[in-house]
Amino acid sequence: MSEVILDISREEAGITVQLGGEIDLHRTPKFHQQLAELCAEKPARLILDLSQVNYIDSSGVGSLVEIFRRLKKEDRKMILVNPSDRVCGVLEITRLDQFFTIVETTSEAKTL
Amino acid sequence: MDNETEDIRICSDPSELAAVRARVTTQAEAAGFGDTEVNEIALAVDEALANVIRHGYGGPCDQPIEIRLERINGSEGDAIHITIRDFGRQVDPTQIAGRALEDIKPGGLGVHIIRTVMDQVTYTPADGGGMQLIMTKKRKEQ
Repeated sequence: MSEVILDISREEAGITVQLGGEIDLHRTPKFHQQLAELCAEKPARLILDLSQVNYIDSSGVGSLVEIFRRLKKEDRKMILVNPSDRVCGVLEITRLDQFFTIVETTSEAKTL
Repeated sequence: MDNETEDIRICSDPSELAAVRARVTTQAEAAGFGDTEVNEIALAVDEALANVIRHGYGGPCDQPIEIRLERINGSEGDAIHITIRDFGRQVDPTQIAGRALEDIKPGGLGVHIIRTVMDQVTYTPADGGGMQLIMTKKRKEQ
């Protein structure tokens, strides 16, 4: 675990990661490395629960873009769940809210 | 005109960013901005500092960055005025631009965010080396 990754659960539907705290230039490198390691497990879905993330900057969303592309190349999915208002604001400013698949619950994410 | 100023000096270490965000948040709240605008101002400062750390200095964590936060109560309305001064690489201000958002890729979003959320953004090469960024956000009438 790290300051940002609070919990990881593995199921047939994929890997669900509970994220929390502040994802900024200080924390993104380790966060990104950990997500990359989860990608290497080749999950059908990487489900990122953002409900407890209270801050994300462009380094954090850049990491999400890179992980998304890495998974997509192997026909796997990355789904964002329930981002906080503050995280939604950053996704909207960068128009990534139209790029990522965003749902309200992890249960819904597991069906996509 | 009744202005309040806070000067902050940090090193180019990403671990300093959270503390700066907290201080910017406090100043923006004191200036009367709403929650969304407070978050946007803190984000803009964070992105600007991240750019200095990554591009202005290119990695070393011990280089100086000076930040001035000014709460302006003026005849043209209330505003927060933020100056960020570094002593790193100088660049042509016309070359500092956010990338096209249609090109989805990691990186290059910081300048776009800054220019989107702040009302005025001016980069200038500073006397003695480095760059100076001045950003202003005006408070909307309640």
